[in-house]
Amino acid sequence: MKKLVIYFAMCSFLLLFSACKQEIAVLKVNDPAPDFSLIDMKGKTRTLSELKGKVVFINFWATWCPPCIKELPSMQSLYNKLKGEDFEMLALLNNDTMDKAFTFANRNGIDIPILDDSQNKVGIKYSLTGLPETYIIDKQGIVGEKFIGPAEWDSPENIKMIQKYIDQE
Amino acid sequence: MEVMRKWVQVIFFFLTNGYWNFPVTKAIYKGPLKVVCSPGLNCYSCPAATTYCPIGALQQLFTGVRMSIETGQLYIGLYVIGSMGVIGGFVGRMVCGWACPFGLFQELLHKIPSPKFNIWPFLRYFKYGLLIFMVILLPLFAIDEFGTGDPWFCKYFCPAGTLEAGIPMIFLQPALRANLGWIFSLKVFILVFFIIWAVFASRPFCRTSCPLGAFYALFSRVKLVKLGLDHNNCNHCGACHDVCPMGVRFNESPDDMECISCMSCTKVCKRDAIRLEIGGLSVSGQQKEPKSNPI
Repeated sequence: MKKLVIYFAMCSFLLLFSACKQEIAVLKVNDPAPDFSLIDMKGKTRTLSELKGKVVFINFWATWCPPCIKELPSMQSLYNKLKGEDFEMLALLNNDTMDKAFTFANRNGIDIPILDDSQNKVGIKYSLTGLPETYIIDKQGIVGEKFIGPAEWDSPENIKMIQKYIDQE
Repeated sequence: MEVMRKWVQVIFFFLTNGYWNFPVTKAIYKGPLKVVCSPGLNCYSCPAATTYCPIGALQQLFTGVRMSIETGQLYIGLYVIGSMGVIGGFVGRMVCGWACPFGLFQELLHKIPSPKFNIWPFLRYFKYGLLIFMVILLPLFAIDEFGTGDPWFCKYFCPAGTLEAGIPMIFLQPALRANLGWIFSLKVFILVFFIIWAVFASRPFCRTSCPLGAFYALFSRVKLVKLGLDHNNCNHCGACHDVCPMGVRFNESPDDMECISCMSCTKVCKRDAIRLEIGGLSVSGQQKEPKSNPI
């Protein structure tokens, strides 16, 4: 019996240590936004560093995440309102398949650029807490705001907050 | 055996909650182990959780089943149901007694000195309603304008999720507090309700409201590892009734769907009539004597 307990204990500690191998750097406001290159639904590569000079709204989402899809219409509305300004919106699909995102976007009239982060590589760089999670990157490529959880993105307060970043030089 | 069981419970707690970097990362573990199904009710969003909760995963898959089928994918929960089926077929509700962190939590609460009460037996059927409606039917059929459902049990009920994920996460990530509303208040109320109930009654959540326990209970007659009753030795003294944490009268219903094979009854049975069996073969106590054929 004792041997069995020792065997179980060894297994649990092995798992514990292997689990602890996850990256631990936490991305905070005022940190430089980690760069990435991802492919969108049209097969075009989008690179964050190429968008310097624009305010970039990065949202991590998945079709299996109910709060994510509930905030998408307000993101679409914000995207429409700020079109033509120094503003770019990127929806990074996390731990999901692009086929599902494509179906969802078509069905719900979403034309925000959706990028493929199905392998969670960028998600790890941004030390995601969960989904949805949103970052506002300023024109210099610095994280200006970090939002954990869903929001009403087309509310006057949020539009004002993003406009403040667009108006900065 | 009780000490051994406690050890196994603690070890399973660490096996399924082995990520202790979370105070630094302030995030949920999403590493390679997260594809493994936890045998017990252990929330995916618990910051330390290394595995996923089968009940949560099942609802999540059901909520998006239409979109999966529409895109020609078969993410309809077969892997999760298969994992649950394998665990259920081998040990059934033994998981509740030996491997569920929320079961361990309730057992520890019940050790707090207080008057102890039984639970009205009819309440056991409530968990089957939760399994059918909140885990299966509502996530599948109560869909919104986007064609997806909600994980009803996780969202509106699960006290294990509130304890292991909801409360720790709002401490780790103060920004999340802005999203708290009536649903969180409801879930805290349910958690507090079960905490208080667990002090006065044994394992109230397992007995009345756990949909995973309800699923495993379906295997009570066919599981490989179970407690068996030797009818020749049993004199129906009723000693097993008082010690059962699940309110089972073992000598009256040895295949009871509530039995979690914790083996408390084997300890008090003076006639060695209750034994742990694997595939019908006794592995504790003396071997059953073969029934002699009447001449």
